[in-house]
Amino acid sequence: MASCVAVIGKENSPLYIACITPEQELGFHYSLHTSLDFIEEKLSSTNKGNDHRDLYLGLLYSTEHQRIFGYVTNTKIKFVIIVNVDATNTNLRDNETRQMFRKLHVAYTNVMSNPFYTPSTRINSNKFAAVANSILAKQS
Amino acid sequence: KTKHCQTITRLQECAIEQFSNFKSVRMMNHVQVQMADELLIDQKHSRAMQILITSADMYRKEGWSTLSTACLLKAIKCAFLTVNVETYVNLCLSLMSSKSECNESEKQRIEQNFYLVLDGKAPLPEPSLTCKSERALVGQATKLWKDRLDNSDSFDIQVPTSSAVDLEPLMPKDVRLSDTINIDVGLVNSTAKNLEVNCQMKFNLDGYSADGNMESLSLVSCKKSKYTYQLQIKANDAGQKLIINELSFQIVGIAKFCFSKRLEDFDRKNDMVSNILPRDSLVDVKFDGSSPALVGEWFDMGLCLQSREIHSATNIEVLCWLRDGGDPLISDTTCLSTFAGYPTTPTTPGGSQSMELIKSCVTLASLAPGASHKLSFYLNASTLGSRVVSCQLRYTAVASNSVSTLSSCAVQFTVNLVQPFSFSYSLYNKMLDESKVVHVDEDFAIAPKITCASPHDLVITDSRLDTRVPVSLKDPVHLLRGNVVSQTWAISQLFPAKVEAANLITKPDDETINLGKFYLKWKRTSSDIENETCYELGTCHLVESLVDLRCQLPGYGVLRRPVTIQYRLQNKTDVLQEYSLTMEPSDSFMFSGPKQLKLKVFPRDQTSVKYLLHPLLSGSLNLPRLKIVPLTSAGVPSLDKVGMLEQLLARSVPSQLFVLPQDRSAEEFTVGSGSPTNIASAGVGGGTFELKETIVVPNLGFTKQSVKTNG
Repeated sequence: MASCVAVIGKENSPLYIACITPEQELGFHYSLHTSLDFIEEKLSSTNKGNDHRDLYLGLLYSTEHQRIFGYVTNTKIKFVIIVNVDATNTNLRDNETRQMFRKLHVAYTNVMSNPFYTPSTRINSNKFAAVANSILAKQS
Repeated sequence: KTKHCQTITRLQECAIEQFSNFKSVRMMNHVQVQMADELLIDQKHSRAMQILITSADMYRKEGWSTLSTACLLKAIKCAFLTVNVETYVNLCLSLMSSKSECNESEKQRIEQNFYLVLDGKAPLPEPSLTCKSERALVGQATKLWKDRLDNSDSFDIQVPTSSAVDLEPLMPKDVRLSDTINIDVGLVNSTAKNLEVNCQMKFNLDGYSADGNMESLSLVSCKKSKYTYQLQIKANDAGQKLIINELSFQIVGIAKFCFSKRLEDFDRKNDMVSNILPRDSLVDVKFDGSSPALVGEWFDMGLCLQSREIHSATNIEVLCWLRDGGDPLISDTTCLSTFAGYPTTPTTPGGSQSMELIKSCVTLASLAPGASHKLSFYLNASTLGSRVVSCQLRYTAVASNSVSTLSSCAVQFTVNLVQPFSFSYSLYNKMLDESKVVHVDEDFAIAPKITCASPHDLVITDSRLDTRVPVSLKDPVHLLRGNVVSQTWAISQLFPAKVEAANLITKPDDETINLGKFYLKWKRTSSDIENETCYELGTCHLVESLVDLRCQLPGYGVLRRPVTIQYRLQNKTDVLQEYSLTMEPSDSFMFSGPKQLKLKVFPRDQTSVKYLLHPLLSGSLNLPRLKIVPLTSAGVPSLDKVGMLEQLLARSVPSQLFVLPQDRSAEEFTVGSGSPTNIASAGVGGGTFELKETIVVPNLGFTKQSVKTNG
């Protein structure tokens, strides 16, 4: 199940982090921060090839208990979803993960369209939080 | 917690090294934090503390304050256990700041410990130090804290980047020598207590640090305020940067702890730097040049310095350069110099090359108060448009504070350029008819014409035409020297020229010859500087005639007096030429000579034909037309050469002759009553002179007609 949803800005600072279990929040923060290395590596390898890059990066890395997926927009905003690995979640399909990211991207676009929102600052939108929570809840 | 063996730490060190090689900085940082946890369990608190502080700094720079706070909370435990007072207070200030993600109760606890330490008492142990081994260490540490605080004279505390108690200076970007520098110091106090601090700033330049002592500042609890500190700039420091290197403060009443902030390590380094600019100049630079400038002219910009200083200005230096000197379109076509001429060597004194950003400089020893002085800078541009000249003035003068200070000002002048003349030229044949081609061995004339386009009156000082082989030139008909032209006035000069067959290299019919260049020297009527402009003449076709035709005829005729006209044909080829000549009759002349004639001209030879003309009328009369038809060897007219000969006739033979009326002798002069009157005696007493009505004598053809007169 999706344990954590995060939006990280283009300067690699966190804009929004939502976790399903507050006790494990610090651990998720560490995982999210380290996933940035994997994202940078994937971006540098795809940039050498063609001009058109797929926004969905796929599985960044996996540990014993978690799988971390990444998605980077054209403006270098990173979306990261951490999924707990357990018996019920072994068949999480690629398509489903893509859909989650697309939903998050649309919600982020709506946040950016708000003229009162200052880019590169923390996202405090309730609507965005509802979308993120729905992603966390859907898979649980 | 299970105490891991030394192996895991070594494994983690290897992992860190690998991640470092693969440039996975964040992964490396994470493993370092994990290694710090293991070191904590292994009770190597000093090493763990250093690692945690470094990792926390990295998280802080990327904006991950949760992770940074988590590391600092672990580090403060280590600082407590190792009795590192300086680091402990530093960490307290970080964790109490607004950017820390500690909860309120945690912050209050840390603040309480902070003030305990400032009061010289040991802080309370961290609540997470609860296990058996840690409790023993806590007891030990508490004892050592007391000893350390009692026995040490002073502690130097480094203020962290985000601190609960902070002074944030802000320097103005630029400051002038004559001004006072205002340094805004932001006062931050996130603690629950009001504080009084004595602050001192250290600067990079000598002589300012002592001035940087500020009076006691009040830091109100949980409030941000500002204090403006004024500093006097020293006159010798013009052109330098004043940087705050360090800011230190002491809390009033707590002399043991000295807080310092090394600002060069901070993110907002640019806020700590001020550029010291020279004082605003009270000497004005004005542009007195007579615009617009002319292309090719050494234009005197005529900069006038006007002093508004109270005292004399000394060591005056005026620098001028082209603002767009970096653009090759400008630098290749413009020269700025301190004299009206191109420098003969790269190091010609007083001169400068039109290279990128090279500055022309004129110095002046002094300028009295209220006086003015004119400086000459010369601009020469070879293309139209405008040129922007940047000018900088620097001098030393006594300012209002009776100190000699450097003053400067920078201005820009735009110089517009217009063409001095517009140029055109024409070619004339022997008959002074305009022609587009030049014929070999035939005289022609080149007539350059210049029209003044300058709004200023110009004087032509000299002109010359430089032609190239095969064109040879004779002296011009008249000179242009000394002529003054105003706008829209035109002036032209005629240069007789010839292309001789001996000078030709190739076959003339294929040749396009270059006519050369016309050089014009001129100057403004109000100036002595002579300028030269060169105009390129174009090319024209060169044509060789097969035959040369000359006509000998007197300049004028007299009525009823015979005039001899001689035509000379010269064969310029190596083949025999045969022509049929026909003289057509004319109403104005009777002529005697061959009306129709066939003649042969041998190769490179000439032949002539004479006619005797008898003018029948007076005035400008059309000459009898000579028709020349070239014949082939069979005696048949050669049609392909007829056109050429007609052109030859048109440019070689005059078509009209001016015939004067016949002289009248005294006996033939009859006026008045019909009886001959002697003119010599008229008006002297003999005979009468009467003016009757007008007699009209029609100028008719040769017919005898009786003219009736009155009286």
